[in-house]
Amino acid sequence: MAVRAALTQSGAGPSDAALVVSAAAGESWAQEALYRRYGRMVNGLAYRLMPNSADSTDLAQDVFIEAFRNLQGLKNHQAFASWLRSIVIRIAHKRVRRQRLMARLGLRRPEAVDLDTVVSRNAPPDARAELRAVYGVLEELSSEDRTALVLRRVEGMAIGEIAEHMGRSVATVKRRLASAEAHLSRRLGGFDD
Amino acid sequence: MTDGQKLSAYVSRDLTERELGEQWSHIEERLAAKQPRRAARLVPGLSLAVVLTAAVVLFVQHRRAVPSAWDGALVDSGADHVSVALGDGSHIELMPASRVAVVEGSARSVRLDLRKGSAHFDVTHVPGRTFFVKSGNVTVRVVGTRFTVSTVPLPDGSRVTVAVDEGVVEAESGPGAEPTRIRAGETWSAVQTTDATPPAPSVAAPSVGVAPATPEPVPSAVAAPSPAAPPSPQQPAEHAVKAPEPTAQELFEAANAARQAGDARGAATSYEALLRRHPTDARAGLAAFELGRLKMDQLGDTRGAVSALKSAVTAAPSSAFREDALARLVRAYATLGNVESCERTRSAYLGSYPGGVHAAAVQKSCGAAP
Repeated sequence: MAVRAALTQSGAGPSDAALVVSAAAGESWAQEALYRRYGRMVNGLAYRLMPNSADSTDLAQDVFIEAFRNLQGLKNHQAFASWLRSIVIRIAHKRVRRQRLMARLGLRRPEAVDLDTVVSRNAPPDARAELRAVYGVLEELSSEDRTALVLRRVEGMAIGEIAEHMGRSVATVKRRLASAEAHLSRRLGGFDD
Repeated sequence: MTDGQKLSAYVSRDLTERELGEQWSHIEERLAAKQPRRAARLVPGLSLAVVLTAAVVLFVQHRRAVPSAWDGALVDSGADHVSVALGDGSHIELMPASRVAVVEGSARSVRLDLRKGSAHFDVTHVPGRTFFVKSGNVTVRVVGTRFTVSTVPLPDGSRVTVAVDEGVVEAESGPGAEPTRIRAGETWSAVQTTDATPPAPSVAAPSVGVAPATPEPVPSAVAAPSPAAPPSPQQPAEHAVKAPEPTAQELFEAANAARQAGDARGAATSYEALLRRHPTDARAGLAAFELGRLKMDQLGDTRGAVSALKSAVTAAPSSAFREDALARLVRAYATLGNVESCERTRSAYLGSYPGGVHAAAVQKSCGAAP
Protein backbone atom coordinates (compact mmCIF):
# COMPACT_ATOMS: atom_id res chain seq x y z
CA MET A 1 0.00 0.00 0.00
CA ALA A 2 1.34 3.39 -1.01
CA VAL A 3 0.44 4.86 2.34
CA ARG A 4 2.52 2.37 4.23
CA ALA A 5 5.58 3.00 2.06
CA ALA A 6 5.43 6.70 2.73
CA LEU A 7 5.39 6.55 6.51
CA THR A 8 7.76 8.88 8.32
CA GLN A 9 10.40 7.47 10.63
CA SER A 10 9.76 10.08 13.31
CA GLY A 11 6.64 8.50 14.67
CA ALA A 12 4.78 11.70 13.91
CA GLY A 13 2.35 9.93 11.65
CA PRO A 14 2.15 9.52 7.89
CA SER A 15 4.01 11.92 5.65
CA ASP A 16 2.12 14.60 3.75
CA ALA A 17 2.62 12.61 0.56
CA ALA A 18 1.03 9.51 2.09
CA LEU A 19 -1.89 11.46 3.47
CA VAL A 20 -2.40 13.28 0.18
CA VAL A 21 -2.56 9.98 -1.72
CA SER A 22 -5.23 8.66 0.62
CA ALA A 23 -7.10 11.96 0.83
CA ALA A 24 -7.16 12.22 -2.96
CA ALA A 25 -8.78 8.78 -3.01
CA GLY A 26 -11.56 10.21 -0.85
CA GLU A 27 -10.36 8.78 2.46
CA SER A 28 -11.79 11.14 5.02
CA TRP A 29 -9.43 10.03 7.80
CA ALA A 30 -6.53 11.27 5.68
CA GLN A 31 -8.34 14.54 4.96
CA GLU A 32 -8.89 15.02 8.67
CA ALA A 33 -5.24 14.25 9.42
CA LEU A 34 -4.16 16.87 6.88
CA TYR A 35 -6.59 19.35 8.37
CA ARG A 36 -5.31 18.67 11.89
CA ARG A 37 -1.78 19.14 10.65
CA TYR A 38 -2.34 22.37 8.76
CA GLY A 39 -5.51 23.85 10.23
CA ARG A 40 -3.66 26.33 12.42
CA MET A 41 -1.31 27.35 9.63
CA VAL A 42 -4.21 28.01 7.26
CA ASN A 43 -6.27 29.86 9.87
CA GLY A 44 -3.26 31.97 10.81
CA LEU A 45 -2.44 32.99 7.26
CA ALA A 46 -6.11 33.59 6.51
CA TYR A 47 -6.36 35.84 9.54
CA ARG A 48 -3.28 37.84 8.57
CA LEU A 49 -4.62 38.33 5.04
CA MET A 50 -8.18 39.09 6.15
CA PRO A 51 -7.94 40.28 9.75
CA ASN A 52 -11.54 39.77 10.64
CA SER A 53 -12.16 36.55 12.48
CA ALA A 54 -15.43 35.72 10.72
CA ASP A 55 -13.93 36.31 7.28
CA SER A 56 -10.83 34.32 8.07
CA THR A 57 -12.79 31.37 9.48
CA ASP A 58 -14.92 31.19 6.35
CA LEU A 59 -11.82 31.55 4.25
CA ALA A 60 -10.04 28.69 6.04
CA GLN A 61 -13.04 26.42 5.48
CA ASP A 62 -13.18 27.29 1.80
CA VAL A 63 -9.47 26.63 1.48
CA PHE A 64 -9.75 23.07 2.77
CA ILE A 65 -12.87 22.38 0.73
CA GLU A 66 -11.13 23.55 -2.43
CA ALA A 67 -7.94 21.71 -1.55
CA PHE A 68 -9.66 18.38 -0.93
CA ARG A 69 -11.78 18.69 -4.04
CA ASN A 70 -8.74 19.39 -6.18
CA LEU A 71 -6.13 17.11 -4.65
CA GLN A 72 -5.95 15.10 -7.85
CA GLY A 73 -4.31 18.10 -9.47
CA LEU A 74 -1.46 18.27 -6.98
CA LYS A 75 1.53 16.74 -8.74
CA ASN A 76 4.08 16.92 -5.93
CA HIS A 77 2.32 15.41 -2.96
CA GLN A 78 5.00 16.46 -0.51
CA ALA A 79 4.41 20.11 -1.53
CA PHE A 80 0.94 20.05 0.02
CA ALA A 81 1.69 22.77 2.57
CA SER A 82 2.99 25.21 -0.01
CA TRP A 83 0.09 24.42 -2.31
CA LEU A 84 -2.32 25.04 0.56
CA ARG A 85 -0.71 28.43 1.22
CA SER A 86 -1.22 29.35 -2.44
CA ILE A 87 -4.89 28.47 -2.15
CA VAL A 88 -5.25 30.65 0.96
CA ILE A 89 -3.61 33.57 -0.81
CA ARG A 90 -5.61 33.17 -4.00
CA ILE A 91 -8.98 32.85 -2.27
CA ALA A 92 -8.21 35.71 0.12
CA HIS A 93 -7.26 37.90 -2.82
CA LYS A 94 -10.50 37.07 -4.64
CA ARG A 95 -12.56 37.70 -1.51
CA VAL A 96 -10.97 41.07 -0.88
CA ARG A 97 -11.65 42.04 -4.48
CA ARG A 98 -15.26 40.95 -4.16
CA GLN A 99 -15.69 42.82 -0.90
CA ARG A 100 -14.28 45.94 -2.50
CA LEU A 101 -16.68 45.63 -5.41
CA MET A 102 -19.64 45.10 -3.09
CA ALA A 103 -18.58 48.12 -1.06
CA ARG A 104 -18.40 50.24 -4.22
CA LEU A 105 -21.89 49.08 -5.16
CA GLY A 106 -23.12 50.00 -1.71
CA LEU A 107 -23.86 46.38 -0.82
CA ARG A 108 -21.28 46.14 1.92
CA ARG A 109 -19.94 48.52 4.50
CA PRO A 110 -16.13 48.72 4.57
CA GLU A 111 -14.81 47.33 7.85
CA ALA A 112 -11.86 49.08 9.45
CA VAL A 113 -9.23 46.79 10.91
CA ASP A 114 -9.23 46.84 14.70
CA LEU A 115 -5.51 47.25 15.22
CA ASP A 116 -5.68 46.62 18.96
CA THR A 117 -7.29 43.26 18.36
CA VAL A 118 -5.21 42.21 15.38
CA VAL A 119 -1.75 43.05 16.73
CA SER A 120 -0.74 40.96 19.71
CA ARG A 121 -0.10 42.76 22.97
CA ASN A 122 3.03 40.69 23.33
CA ALA A 123 4.61 42.25 20.25
CA PRO A 124 7.73 44.32 20.95
CA PRO A 125 7.30 48.05 20.28
CA ASP A 126 9.04 48.11 16.89
CA ALA A 127 7.08 45.11 15.62
CA ARG A 128 3.89 46.60 16.99
CA ALA A 129 4.54 49.92 15.24
CA GLU A 130 5.26 48.24 11.94
CA LEU A 131 2.24 46.00 12.11
CA ARG A 132 -0.04 48.89 13.04
CA ALA A 133 1.34 50.81 10.07
CA VAL A 134 0.81 47.92 7.65
CA TYR A 135 -2.67 47.01 8.84
CA GLY A 136 -3.59 50.68 9.10
CA VAL A 137 -3.26 51.17 5.34
CA LEU A 138 -4.55 47.84 4.06
CA GLU A 139 -8.03 49.11 3.29
CA GLU A 140 -6.54 51.93 1.21
CA LEU A 141 -4.54 49.61 -1.04
CA SER A 142 -5.63 47.72 -4.12
CA SER A 143 -6.26 44.04 -3.42
CA GLU A 144 -3.03 43.02 -5.18
CA ASP A 145 -0.94 45.63 -3.40
CA ARG A 146 -2.50 44.62 -0.12
CA THR A 147 -1.81 40.92 -0.56
CA ALA A 148 1.78 41.53 -1.68
CA LEU A 149 2.42 43.85 1.26
CA VAL A 150 1.16 41.40 3.88
CA LEU A 151 3.09 38.52 2.37
CA ARG A 152 6.27 40.59 2.28
CA ARG A 153 6.08 42.55 5.50
CA VAL A 154 4.16 40.22 7.78
CA GLU A 155 4.86 36.76 6.39
CA GLY A 156 8.43 37.68 5.49
CA MET A 157 8.24 35.92 2.14
CA ALA A 158 10.84 36.43 -0.57
CA ILE A 159 9.64 38.21 -3.70
CA GLY A 160 10.00 35.06 -5.79
CA GLU A 161 7.89 33.14 -3.29
CA ILE A 162 5.20 35.82 -3.33
CA ALA A 163 5.16 35.74 -7.12
CA GLU A 164 4.72 31.99 -7.07
CA HIS A 165 1.89 32.05 -4.55
CA MET A 166 0.09 34.94 -6.23
CA GLY A 167 0.56 33.51 -9.72
CA ARG A 168 2.23 36.71 -10.89
CA SER A 169 5.63 37.50 -12.36
CA VAL A 170 8.45 38.71 -10.14
CA ALA A 171 8.36 42.04 -11.97
CA THR A 172 4.66 42.46 -11.24
CA VAL A 173 5.16 41.66 -7.58
CA LYS A 174 7.98 44.19 -7.38
CA ARG A 175 5.70 46.84 -8.88
CA ARG A 176 2.89 45.96 -6.49
CA LEU A 177 5.23 46.13 -3.52
CA ALA A 178 6.73 49.41 -4.66
CA SER A 179 3.25 50.85 -4.98
CA ALA A 180 2.20 49.58 -1.56
CA GLU A 181 5.38 50.75 0.13
CA ALA A 182 5.06 54.18 -1.46
CA HIS A 183 1.53 54.45 -0.15
CA LEU A 184 2.67 53.35 3.26
CA SER A 185 5.41 55.96 3.29
CA ARG A 186 3.08 58.73 2.15
CA ARG A 187 0.52 57.78 4.73
CA LEU A 188 2.99 57.73 7.54
CA GLY A 189 4.99 60.69 6.35
CA GLY A 190 8.16 58.81 5.74
CA PHE A 191 7.82 55.49 7.49
CA ASP A 192 11.11 53.90 6.60
CA ASP A 193 11.90 50.39 5.64
CA MET B 1 12.03 46.71 8.81
CA THR B 2 11.48 44.15 11.50
CA ASP B 3 12.09 40.56 10.53
CA GLY B 4 8.94 39.52 8.74
CA GLN B 5 9.24 35.94 9.94
CA LYS B 6 8.78 37.18 13.46
CA LEU B 7 6.01 39.64 12.62
CA SER B 8 3.58 36.92 11.62
CA ALA B 9 3.82 35.56 15.16
CA TYR B 10 2.24 38.77 16.45
CA VAL B 11 -0.80 38.56 14.19
CA SER B 12 -2.41 35.26 14.86
CA ARG B 13 -5.71 33.84 15.83
CA ASP B 14 -5.17 31.02 18.28
CA LEU B 15 -7.85 28.47 17.72
CA THR B 16 -8.68 26.08 20.54
CA GLU B 17 -8.90 22.35 19.90
CA ARG B 18 -12.65 22.69 20.19
CA GLU B 19 -12.77 25.45 17.58
CA LEU B 20 -10.59 23.39 15.28
CA GLY B 21 -12.86 20.41 15.80
CA GLU B 22 -15.94 22.49 15.01
CA GLN B 23 -14.31 23.89 11.92
CA TRP B 24 -13.43 20.40 10.76
CA SER B 25 -17.03 19.31 11.30
CA HIS B 26 -18.20 22.13 9.03
CA ILE B 27 -15.63 21.21 6.40
CA GLU B 28 -16.57 17.54 6.59
CA GLU B 29 -20.26 18.37 6.27
CA ARG B 30 -19.61 20.55 3.27
CA LEU B 31 -17.42 17.93 1.65
CA ALA B 32 -20.12 15.33 2.13
CA ALA B 33 -22.94 17.62 1.07
CA LYS B 34 -24.04 18.39 -2.43
CA GLN B 35 -21.94 21.07 -4.02
CA PRO B 36 -23.94 24.28 -4.11
CA ARG B 37 -25.38 25.23 -7.40
CA ARG B 38 -23.64 28.48 -7.99
CA ALA B 39 -24.60 30.64 -10.89
CA ALA B 40 -21.04 31.92 -11.05
CA ARG B 41 -19.77 28.45 -11.82
CA LEU B 42 -22.41 27.61 -14.35
CA VAL B 43 -22.76 30.81 -16.31
CA PRO B 44 -19.32 31.32 -17.85
CA GLY B 45 -19.14 28.05 -19.69
CA LEU B 46 -22.83 27.62 -20.46
CA SER B 47 -21.81 24.04 -20.30
CA LEU B 48 -23.47 21.20 -22.03
CA ALA B 49 -24.75 19.98 -18.70
CA VAL B 50 -26.57 23.23 -18.04
CA VAL B 51 -28.09 23.34 -21.48
CA LEU B 52 -29.25 19.78 -21.11
CA THR B 53 -30.55 20.46 -17.63
CA ALA B 54 -32.65 23.31 -18.97
CA ALA B 55 -33.80 21.13 -21.81
CA VAL B 56 -34.87 18.34 -19.48
CA VAL B 57 -36.61 20.80 -17.17
CA LEU B 58 -38.47 22.46 -20.00
CA PHE B 59 -39.36 19.19 -21.57
CA VAL B 60 -40.81 17.66 -18.45
CA GLN B 61 -42.59 20.86 -17.55
CA HIS B 62 -44.30 20.93 -20.92
CA ARG B 63 -45.37 17.32 -20.44
CA ARG B 64 -45.45 16.61 -24.10
CA ALA B 65 -46.16 12.99 -25.01
CA VAL B 66 -43.97 13.07 -28.07
CA PRO B 67 -40.32 12.09 -28.40
CA SER B 68 -38.00 14.78 -27.10
CA ALA B 69 -35.49 16.47 -29.32
CA TRP B 70 -33.06 15.86 -26.45
CA ASP B 71 -33.55 12.12 -26.34
CA GLY B 72 -30.11 10.53 -26.41
CA ALA B 73 -28.40 13.64 -25.09
CA LEU B 74 -25.62 13.21 -22.55
CA VAL B 75 -25.14 14.95 -19.22
CA ASP B 76 -21.50 14.70 -18.15
CA SER B 77 -20.52 16.03 -14.73
CA GLY B 78 -16.84 16.44 -15.56
CA ALA B 79 -14.94 17.24 -12.37
CA ASP B 80 -17.96 18.71 -10.57
CA HIS B 81 -21.18 17.61 -8.97
CA VAL B 82 -24.02 18.41 -11.35
CA SER B 83 -27.56 18.75 -10.14
CA VAL B 84 -30.37 18.30 -12.63
CA ALA B 85 -33.83 19.48 -11.57
CA LEU B 86 -36.78 18.04 -13.43
CA GLY B 87 -39.94 20.04 -13.77
CA ASP B 88 -41.92 17.60 -11.62
CA GLY B 89 -39.73 18.23 -8.57
CA SER B 90 -37.43 15.25 -9.11
CA HIS B 91 -33.71 15.77 -8.73
CA ILE B 92 -30.73 13.96 -10.16
CA GLU B 93 -27.36 14.55 -8.57
CA LEU B 94 -24.42 13.40 -10.65
CA MET B 95 -21.21 12.74 -8.77
CA PRO B 96 -17.95 13.93 -10.33
CA ALA B 97 -16.75 11.91 -13.35
CA SER B 98 -20.25 10.59 -14.03
CA ARG B 99 -22.30 10.51 -17.19
CA VAL B 100 -26.01 10.01 -17.77
CA ALA B 101 -27.74 9.77 -21.12
CA VAL B 102 -31.33 10.95 -21.51
CA VAL B 103 -32.72 8.03 -23.49
CA GLU B 104 -36.27 9.30 -23.24
CA GLY B 105 -37.77 12.26 -21.45
CA SER B 106 -41.48 12.56 -21.93
CA ALA B 107 -44.39 13.28 -19.60
CA ARG B 108 -45.27 9.58 -19.71
CA SER B 109 -41.84 8.04 -19.48
CA VAL B 110 -38.37 9.03 -18.36
CA ARG B 111 -35.53 6.69 -19.26
CA LEU B 112 -32.00 7.49 -18.20
CA ASP B 113 -28.85 5.52 -18.85
CA LEU B 114 -26.03 5.80 -16.31
CA ARG B 115 -22.97 5.27 -18.49
CA LYS B 116 -20.29 6.08 -15.94
CA GLY B 117 -19.83 6.91 -12.26
CA SER B 118 -22.58 7.41 -9.74
CA ALA B 119 -25.83 9.34 -9.55
CA HIS B 120 -28.35 9.92 -6.80
CA PHE B 121 -31.99 10.10 -7.81
CA ASP B 122 -34.77 11.76 -5.86
CA VAL B 123 -37.82 10.93 -7.93
CA THR B 124 -41.25 12.43 -7.37
CA HIS B 125 -44.11 10.05 -7.94
CA VAL B 126 -46.15 11.13 -10.96
CA PRO B 127 -49.25 9.01 -11.68
CA GLY B 128 -49.07 7.46 -15.12
CA ARG B 129 -45.41 8.29 -15.63
CA THR B 130 -42.76 5.58 -15.61
CA PHE B 131 -39.21 6.30 -14.58
CA PHE B 132 -36.37 3.93 -15.45
CA VAL B 133 -32.66 4.14 -14.80
CA LYS B 134 -30.45 1.76 -16.73
CA SER B 135 -26.78 0.97 -16.23
CA GLY B 136 -25.30 -1.73 -18.44
CA ASN B 137 -27.76 -4.60 -18.40
CA VAL B 138 -29.26 -3.50 -15.10
CA THR B 139 -32.54 -1.61 -15.20
CA VAL B 140 -34.11 0.05 -12.17
CA ARG B 141 -37.80 0.85 -12.24
CA VAL B 142 -38.79 3.68 -9.99
CA VAL B 143 -42.13 4.51 -8.49
CA GLY B 144 -41.28 7.46 -6.30
CA THR B 145 -38.22 7.23 -4.12
CA ARG B 146 -34.68 8.27 -3.36
CA PHE B 147 -31.87 6.00 -4.42
CA THR B 148 -28.34 5.89 -5.81
CA VAL B 149 -27.00 3.96 -8.77
CA SER B 150 -23.25 3.48 -9.08
CA THR B 151 -21.21 1.65 -11.65
CA VAL B 152 -17.68 0.59 -10.79
CA PRO B 153 -15.39 -0.80 -13.50
CA LEU B 154 -13.96 -4.25 -12.79
CA PRO B 155 -11.14 -5.98 -14.69
CA ASP B 156 -13.60 -8.06 -16.67
CA GLY B 157 -16.76 -5.96 -16.57
CA SER B 158 -18.44 -3.75 -14.05
CA ARG B 159 -20.43 -3.82 -10.84
CA VAL B 160 -23.66 -1.86 -10.69
CA THR B 161 -24.87 -1.04 -7.18
CA VAL B 162 -28.30 0.28 -6.28
CA ALA B 163 -28.81 1.69 -2.78
CA VAL B 164 -32.31 2.77 -1.78
CA ASP B 165 -32.83 5.51 0.81
CA GLU B 166 -36.61 5.77 0.64
CA GLY B 167 -39.40 3.86 -1.05
CA VAL B 168 -39.01 0.84 -3.28
CA VAL B 169 -37.45 0.22 -6.66
CA GLU B 170 -37.37 -2.84 -8.87
CA ALA B 171 -34.11 -3.87 -10.48
CA GLU B 172 -33.53 -6.31 -13.30
CA SER B 173 -30.05 -7.68 -13.76
CA GLY B 174 -30.54 -8.12 -17.48
CA PRO B 175 -33.15 -8.29 -20.22
CA GLY B 176 -35.87 -10.68 -19.16
CA ALA B 177 -34.39 -11.26 -15.70
CA GLU B 178 -36.68 -11.61 -12.75
CA PRO B 179 -37.07 -8.16 -11.17
CA THR B 180 -35.84 -7.78 -7.59
CA ARG B 181 -37.60 -5.40 -5.24
CA ILE B 182 -35.17 -3.26 -3.27
CA ARG B 183 -36.59 -1.51 -0.26
CA ALA B 184 -35.40 1.45 1.80
CA GLY B 185 -32.11 0.72 3.52
CA GLU B 186 -31.22 -2.10 1.15
CA THR B 187 -28.35 -2.28 -1.28
CA TRP B 188 -28.40 -4.47 -4.36
CA SER B 189 -25.57 -5.08 -6.75
CA ALA B 190 -24.93 -6.97 -9.96
CA VAL B 191 -21.67 -7.88 -11.62
CA GLN B 192 -21.67 -7.66 -15.38
CA THR B 193 -19.03 -9.33 -17.48
CA THR B 194 -17.85 -7.95 -20.79
CA ASP B 195 -19.05 -11.04 -22.70
CA ALA B 196 -20.60 -9.99 -25.98
CA THR B 197 -23.74 -12.06 -25.44
CA PRO B 198 -25.76 -11.36 -22.32
CA PRO B 199 -26.33 -14.54 -20.35
CA ALA B 200 -29.76 -16.08 -20.07
CA PRO B 201 -31.34 -14.77 -16.89
CA SER B 202 -32.17 -18.12 -15.34
CA VAL B 203 -28.73 -19.64 -15.93
CA ALA B 204 -26.10 -16.98 -15.75
CA ALA B 205 -27.60 -14.05 -14.03
CA PRO B 206 -24.96 -11.74 -12.61
CA SER B 207 -24.15 -12.00 -8.94
CA VAL B 208 -27.05 -10.38 -7.20
CA GLY B 209 -27.49 -9.54 -3.57
CA VAL B 210 -29.83 -7.57 -1.41
CA ALA B 211 -28.15 -6.23 1.66
CA PRO B 212 -30.19 -4.47 4.33
CA ALA B 213 -28.15 -1.84 6.12
CA THR B 214 -29.20 -3.17 9.50
CA PRO B 215 -26.92 -5.78 11.06
CA GLU B 216 -29.55 -8.53 11.06
CA PRO B 217 -28.57 -11.66 9.11
CA VAL B 218 -29.19 -10.98 5.47
CA PRO B 219 -29.74 -13.51 2.72
CA SER B 220 -27.53 -11.65 0.35
CA ALA B 221 -24.94 -12.77 -2.12
CA VAL B 222 -23.01 -9.66 -1.19
CA ALA B 223 -23.47 -9.46 2.52
CA ALA B 224 -24.80 -12.79 3.71
CA PRO B 225 -23.04 -13.77 6.92
CA SER B 226 -23.61 -17.46 6.45
CA PRO B 227 -23.93 -19.68 3.39
CA ALA B 228 -26.74 -21.43 5.17
CA ALA B 229 -28.87 -18.32 5.35
CA PRO B 230 -32.19 -18.66 3.55
CA PRO B 231 -32.77 -16.77 0.33
CA SER B 232 -34.48 -13.41 0.50
CA PRO B 233 -38.19 -13.39 -0.17
CA GLN B 234 -37.55 -10.49 -2.54
CA GLN B 235 -34.93 -12.37 -4.45
CA PRO B 236 -35.11 -15.51 -6.54
CA ALA B 237 -33.38 -18.34 -4.73
CA GLU B 238 -31.51 -19.40 -7.85
CA HIS B 239 -29.74 -16.05 -7.92
CA ALA B 240 -28.56 -16.38 -4.36
CA VAL B 241 -27.26 -19.88 -4.98
CA LYS B 242 -25.61 -19.29 -8.32
CA ALA B 243 -24.15 -15.88 -7.66
CA PRO B 244 -20.37 -15.96 -7.42
CA GLU B 245 -19.02 -14.58 -4.17
CA PRO B 246 -17.85 -10.99 -4.56
CA THR B 247 -14.15 -10.49 -4.16
CA ALA B 248 -12.65 -8.26 -1.50
CA GLN B 249 -11.75 -5.74 -4.16
CA GLU B 250 -15.31 -5.64 -5.49
CA LEU B 251 -16.73 -5.14 -2.02
CA PHE B 252 -14.15 -2.49 -1.24
CA GLU B 253 -14.92 -0.62 -4.45
CA ALA B 254 -18.66 -0.96 -3.93
CA ALA B 255 -18.25 0.46 -0.42
CA ASN B 256 -16.13 3.34 -1.66
CA ALA B 257 -18.60 4.11 -4.42
CA ALA B 258 -21.48 4.12 -1.95
CA ARG B 259 -19.53 6.28 0.47
CA GLN B 260 -18.60 8.77 -2.19
CA ALA B 261 -22.23 8.85 -3.27
CA GLY B 262 -23.16 9.81 0.29
CA ASP B 263 -24.69 6.43 1.10
CA ALA B 264 -23.11 5.74 4.49
CA ARG B 265 -25.32 2.77 5.32
CA GLY B 266 -24.70 1.10 1.98
CA ALA B 267 -20.98 1.65 2.39
CA ALA B 268 -21.04 0.19 5.91
CA THR B 269 -22.86 -2.89 4.64
CA SER B 270 -20.22 -3.54 2.00
CA TYR B 271 -17.36 -2.96 4.44
CA GLU B 272 -18.99 -5.37 6.89
CA ALA B 273 -19.38 -7.94 4.13
CA LEU B 274 -15.71 -7.55 3.25
CA LEU B 275 -14.67 -8.07 6.87
CA ARG B 276 -16.85 -11.15 7.24
CA ARG B 277 -15.89 -12.79 3.98
CA HIS B 278 -12.29 -11.68 3.62
CA PRO B 279 -10.98 -11.02 7.15
CA THR B 280 -7.35 -11.63 6.14
CA ASP B 281 -7.41 -9.51 2.99
CA ALA B 282 -4.96 -6.60 2.87
CA ARG B 283 -7.88 -4.17 2.68
CA ALA B 284 -9.49 -5.48 5.87
CA GLY B 285 -7.71 -3.01 8.15
CA LEU B 286 -8.67 0.00 6.09
CA ALA B 287 -12.21 -1.34 5.66
CA ALA B 288 -12.52 -1.73 9.43
CA PHE B 289 -11.20 1.77 10.00
CA GLU B 290 -13.57 3.28 7.46
CA LEU B 291 -16.47 1.28 8.92
CA GLY B 292 -15.63 2.64 12.37
CA ARG B 293 -15.47 6.16 11.04
CA LEU B 294 -18.84 5.82 9.30
CA LYS B 295 -20.49 4.36 12.39
CA MET B 296 -19.01 7.03 14.59
CA ASP B 297 -19.62 10.09 12.41
CA GLN B 298 -22.63 9.31 10.31
CA LEU B 299 -24.56 6.35 11.68
CA GLY B 300 -24.58 7.28 15.36
CA ASP B 301 -23.36 3.83 16.38
CA THR B 302 -20.48 4.49 18.76
CA ARG B 303 -20.42 0.93 20.15
CA GLY B 304 -20.25 -0.47 16.63
CA ALA B 305 -17.51 2.02 15.89
CA VAL B 306 -15.46 0.78 18.84
CA SER B 307 -15.65 -2.78 17.58
CA ALA B 308 -14.64 -1.76 14.05
CA LEU B 309 -11.81 0.48 15.20
CA LYS B 310 -10.41 -2.25 17.45
CA SER B 311 -10.42 -4.55 14.41
CA ALA B 312 -8.64 -1.85 12.41
CA VAL B 313 -5.87 -1.57 14.99
CA THR B 314 -5.50 -5.35 15.18
CA ALA B 315 -5.77 -6.04 11.46
CA ALA B 316 -3.17 -3.51 10.39
CA PRO B 317 -0.78 -2.86 13.28
CA SER B 318 1.80 -1.10 11.09
CA SER B 319 -0.57 0.76 8.82
CA ALA B 320 -0.70 4.49 8.25
CA PHE B 321 -4.18 4.73 9.70
CA ARG B 322 -3.42 2.91 12.97
CA GLU B 323 -2.70 6.25 14.57
CA ASP B 324 -6.03 7.64 13.41
CA ALA B 325 -7.85 4.48 14.48
CA LEU B 326 -6.37 4.68 17.99
CA ALA B 327 -7.22 8.38 18.27
CA ARG B 328 -10.79 7.72 17.20
CA LEU B 329 -11.01 4.82 19.61
CA VAL B 330 -10.06 7.18 22.43
CA ARG B 331 -12.82 9.56 21.35
CA ALA B 332 -15.34 6.73 21.08
CA TYR B 333 -14.55 5.42 24.56
CA ALA B 334 -14.78 8.96 25.93
CA THR B 335 -18.19 9.35 24.29
CA LEU B 336 -19.37 6.09 25.81
CA GLY B 337 -18.03 7.13 29.24
CA ASN B 338 -15.78 4.08 29.40
CA VAL B 339 -13.00 5.82 31.32
CA GLU B 340 -10.83 2.75 31.91
CA SER B 341 -10.69 1.74 28.24
CA CYS B 342 -10.33 5.37 27.21
CA GLU B 343 -7.29 5.85 29.42
CA ARG B 344 -5.74 2.56 28.36
CA THR B 345 -6.15 3.44 24.67
CA ARG B 346 -4.93 6.95 25.28
CA SER B 347 -1.73 5.54 26.81
CA ALA B 348 -1.33 3.25 23.81
CA TYR B 349 -1.71 6.18 21.44
CA LEU B 350 0.67 8.49 23.28
CA GLY B 351 3.18 5.66 23.72
CA SER B 352 3.22 4.98 19.99
CA TYR B 353 2.78 8.54 18.71
CA PRO B 354 4.04 11.03 21.29
CA GLY B 355 4.26 13.74 18.63
CA GLY B 356 1.30 12.49 16.61
CA VAL B 357 -1.17 14.68 14.82
CA HIS B 358 -3.89 13.80 17.35
CA ALA B 359 -1.67 13.91 20.46
CA ALA B 360 -3.04 17.21 21.76
CA ALA B 361 -6.65 16.14 21.33
CA VAL B 362 -6.02 12.68 22.77
CA GLN B 363 -4.33 14.10 25.83
CA LYS B 364 -7.44 16.08 26.65
CA SER B 365 -9.76 13.11 26.28
CA CYS B 366 -11.04 10.71 28.97
CA GLY B 367 -11.69 13.53 31.41
CA ALA B 368 -8.33 14.09 33.09
CA ALA B 369 -4.85 14.54 31.63
CA PRO B 370 -2.61 11.44 31.68
